[in-house]
Amino acid sequence: MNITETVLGKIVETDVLILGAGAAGSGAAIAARREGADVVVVEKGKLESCGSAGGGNDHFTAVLNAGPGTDTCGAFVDFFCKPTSGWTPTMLENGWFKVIPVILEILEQERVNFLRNEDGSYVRTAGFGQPGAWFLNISGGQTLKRKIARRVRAEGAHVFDYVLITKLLKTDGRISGCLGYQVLTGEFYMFKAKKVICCLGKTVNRVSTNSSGNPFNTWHDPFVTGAYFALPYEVGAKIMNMDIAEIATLIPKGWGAPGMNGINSMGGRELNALGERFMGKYDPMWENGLRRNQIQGTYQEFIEGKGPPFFIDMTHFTEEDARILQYDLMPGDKATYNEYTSQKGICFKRDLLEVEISELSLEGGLCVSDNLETNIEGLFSGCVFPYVSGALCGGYYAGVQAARAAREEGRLGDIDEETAVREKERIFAPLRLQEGMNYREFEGTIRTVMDYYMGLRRNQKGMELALEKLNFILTYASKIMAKDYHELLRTHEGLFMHKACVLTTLTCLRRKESGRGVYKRTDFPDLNPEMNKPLVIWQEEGRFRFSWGAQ
Amino acid sequence: MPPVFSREIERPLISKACLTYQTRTSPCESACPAGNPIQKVHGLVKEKRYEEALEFLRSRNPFPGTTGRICTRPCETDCNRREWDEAINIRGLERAAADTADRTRIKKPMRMERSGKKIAVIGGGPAGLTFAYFSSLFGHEVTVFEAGPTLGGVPRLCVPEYRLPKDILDMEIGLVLETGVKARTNMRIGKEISFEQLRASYDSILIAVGAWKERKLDVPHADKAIKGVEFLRHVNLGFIREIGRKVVILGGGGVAFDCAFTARRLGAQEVHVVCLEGADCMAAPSDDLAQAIQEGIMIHNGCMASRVLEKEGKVGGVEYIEISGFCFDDAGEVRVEAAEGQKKVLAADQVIFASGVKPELDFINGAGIALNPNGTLKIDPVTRATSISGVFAAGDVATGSSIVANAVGQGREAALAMHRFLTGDPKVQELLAIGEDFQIRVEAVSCQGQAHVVSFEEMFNPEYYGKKPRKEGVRSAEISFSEKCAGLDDSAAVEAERCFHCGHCHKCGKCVEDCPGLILVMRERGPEVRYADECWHCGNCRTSCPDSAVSYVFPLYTLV
Repeated sequence: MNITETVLGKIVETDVLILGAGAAGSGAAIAARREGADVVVVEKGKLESCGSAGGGNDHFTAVLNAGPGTDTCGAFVDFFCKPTSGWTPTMLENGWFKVIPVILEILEQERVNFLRNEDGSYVRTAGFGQPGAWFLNISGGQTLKRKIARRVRAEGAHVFDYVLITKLLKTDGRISGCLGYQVLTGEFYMFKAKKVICCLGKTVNRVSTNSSGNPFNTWHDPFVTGAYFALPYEVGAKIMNMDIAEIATLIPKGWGAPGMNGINSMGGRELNALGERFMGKYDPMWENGLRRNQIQGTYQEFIEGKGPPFFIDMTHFTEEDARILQYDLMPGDKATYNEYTSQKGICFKRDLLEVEISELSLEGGLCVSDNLETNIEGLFSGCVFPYVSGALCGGYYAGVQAARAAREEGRLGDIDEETAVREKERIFAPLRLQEGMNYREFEGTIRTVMDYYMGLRRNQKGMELALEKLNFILTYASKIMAKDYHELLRTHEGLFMHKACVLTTLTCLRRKESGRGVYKRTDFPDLNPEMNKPLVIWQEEGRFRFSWGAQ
Repeated sequence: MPPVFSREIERPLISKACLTYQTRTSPCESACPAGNPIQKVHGLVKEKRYEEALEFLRSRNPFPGTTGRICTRPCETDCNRREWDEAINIRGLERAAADTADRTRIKKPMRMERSGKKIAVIGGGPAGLTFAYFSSLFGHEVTVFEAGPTLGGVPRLCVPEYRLPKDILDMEIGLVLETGVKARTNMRIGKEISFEQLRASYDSILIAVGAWKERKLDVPHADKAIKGVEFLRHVNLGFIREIGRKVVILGGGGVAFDCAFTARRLGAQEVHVVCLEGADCMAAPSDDLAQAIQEGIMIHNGCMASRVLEKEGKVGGVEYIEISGFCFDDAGEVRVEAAEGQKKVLAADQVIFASGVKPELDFINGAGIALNPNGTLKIDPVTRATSISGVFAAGDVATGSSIVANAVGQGREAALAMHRFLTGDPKVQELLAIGEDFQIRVEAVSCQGQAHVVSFEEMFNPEYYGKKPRKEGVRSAEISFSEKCAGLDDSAAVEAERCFHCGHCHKCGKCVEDCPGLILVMRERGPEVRYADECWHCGNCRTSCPDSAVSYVFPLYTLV
């Protein structure tokens, strides 16, 4: 790493620049360091706590070739490699499956405590409609991210905490670096790198609200705000599946927390207001099926007047199962679970857990080739696969690939000073306004539009109106005033969120069918077999483009 | 939204209650019967701010130099650090504050406005004197009636000099008297003045006479033996200066070992302790057991004396038997299970009974005060009042034989209770605090319930404090009456750094650094939530906290 102080700001040069220090960024950093690259990680929060894994995680997806026929690479690839997934068998095998043992070894070294049977083998459970028992259970998962972070720092990655990236830079069609600023001090940063890995997080939850009305009271990390889509889109990267990857879950009524995977996979039964267990109507694997089916099913019951309320019944669990789930796995997924249940007076073994459909989480992914590189030369994606396992493994594989590419043909580009000056001006403009709109009003209005038109039932007219209104909201972007650096950070987050919402709406408008995503279109209620492929979007010469098919 | 930080106290608080801003605490503070603000003291000693440390200690306990030497340390038994490497030397740090502070620079709390109320204290031991100290500070006129010739009770009369140099105690008693407490020694209630007279002359009375009536085993020739407490008292008062060559102590508690070590110091060559308890369940503190080995004391576990042997009209030894088990009944009397096996004999020049004590309450005969089955005074756990109006009790007379720290805590709580009684102030939720100006004033910062006691399992980051060996004061191998254990001196600050500050924020700022939403800010009083509605309740403030000082209170809208 080389740091140069200039009048404009700090210039940081490195081999591999990793944007975002969540699970994917951490995996990428460890791998790139092990490949011998000089590594800089940039994170707007702090490595130890950022990303969805920062809130804890109680399950780790691991196919180990150790058990029955479902514990194989073949079964794994078959499950994940669908026409709409955008992933190839090679990508899944090399980028995720083969990395699992490497990541497991790292986690074991960092003393992540996987639950084990008496014979020493891992406790493994099934979920998400997967054919095998692919989940290892983590005890004390609330410290998982800290343990990973310890490894990242020990490997010698240079971590820039509290730095927000606001713009990617291209030189001669290749990615060359990025611009950003320190969110606590306002220091301006210019990063130059041979290769860049985008690990900014592909879930965006703060754009809609659950029944609590608090947009930060979310299931996934509310501080992941869509830069993963907004920044690469701006430089022409292709993005896929923003229409069908969108997802929701069930959360304890009024409280944004993960945990449904543990609850479902241990045998939780969902009941409607009539006390009926209904999920069999919507998924052959009942609650343990696809999450989108559980959400669609619950929503259907709601439309039919059979709820709210909805409940999860775990009273039939053995005392030991209920205890492990409530007091070990759940706090591992969300460290404050015990306080919440105790303040609400919930005991899994004794009470029904009231649940609701969570806020909608925007999702999608950058289109990548088998080495996880995007269509922009030198720009890799670490956030390719789902869950903490997919993030760590995919990030790791992207780290390996980026480091090797940097070694073989990497070179540093130049930073165009004029671009940097303009960006610095843009970044800090909200601080200079004497009067204007608060970030809360700006991002709150985005949610108003998304909650109203982009919910679990949609139609063409509604989505067109949503887009129109999102574009109208954007005319206010220059009026957002920030009184301090905290407000400035939230302002930029709001702008990212806005972009993610626009891209999602633009994509959804073009998928004229229902059944592949968590929502349904009332104007196209059925599956269209011709649309059994990813919808890809990108920007070319400032214009929105789309195509069907990932490659 | 969440989190809630459990903070360290900023000013000395006389009352020990759960505070609105300190809802979590450590096992040590929870266990300390005196109510010492242990962690606050550690924080100050770490910075070598000994005078302030002593001011905080004295706001709860006027005898830190004493308890800092002779306490049996229930705090250290429970110390979370024990699970990591070794317990903190909490007693040593208390003593370090008391010994090292420049006492000329100590700021003393001012007496509150005179209440015009008169209080009599019966008994000049640690419970009575602690009570007198605080009651006097609260503005009442206090007179201590002590039956003996000296103030100080058990620490003065029963604790050997090598454990507690009496000049330390003298100085601490002096600071009690300095607040305006009047003391009348050689005043035995029921003899020089009657209990009824006292009741008629004072607004309120505290009975803190301790427990001095010694049990003597019902065995032949018991009258030839001497009683342990009496023995220690006579040695401390200078009445006994020598003892025979061979001494047998009957009993296994702290008093028994004090007798044994004192006998060694008076010249006994062979000292035996015969006790009911097995080797694995001795009642004596572990320090005593270690010292017993050093000083060659022979312990006979699981045994009971069956007779005192007479030789030429004097003590000749003890006959004893092995027992299979024992228990205590409601009255506190020992019940021994069927003894079997051969009788054994130990020849001895002196036999000392150290078989327990109970209160001597003849002076209140006829007053109609209710007693517990074991002969102690029955008191209300909240009001500290006995069954008759205006009469309170504290210390061993109420709890049965206990440690000095317990007497101190009882004395202070009784003073607070009596203050409420005398001033008619019903607000139990209010505390008495010592302000910057050293005026004592009321603060409404206490809350109902108990602070959550943090366990080691709740400490996410013990590695923040690293592994460091415990510091001990040097213990002299010499068998003499000069003080055996030296203070921590220069190593006190290093030892204080080992404190985990369980449940009390020590302002390290890790939570502020690690909050993924950057919603916390660091202020002078510690971390604060600046953007409450932007909290994800992810728990990183807690998992980053080395003190386990973070809890969460969920907003109403998440609970419906």
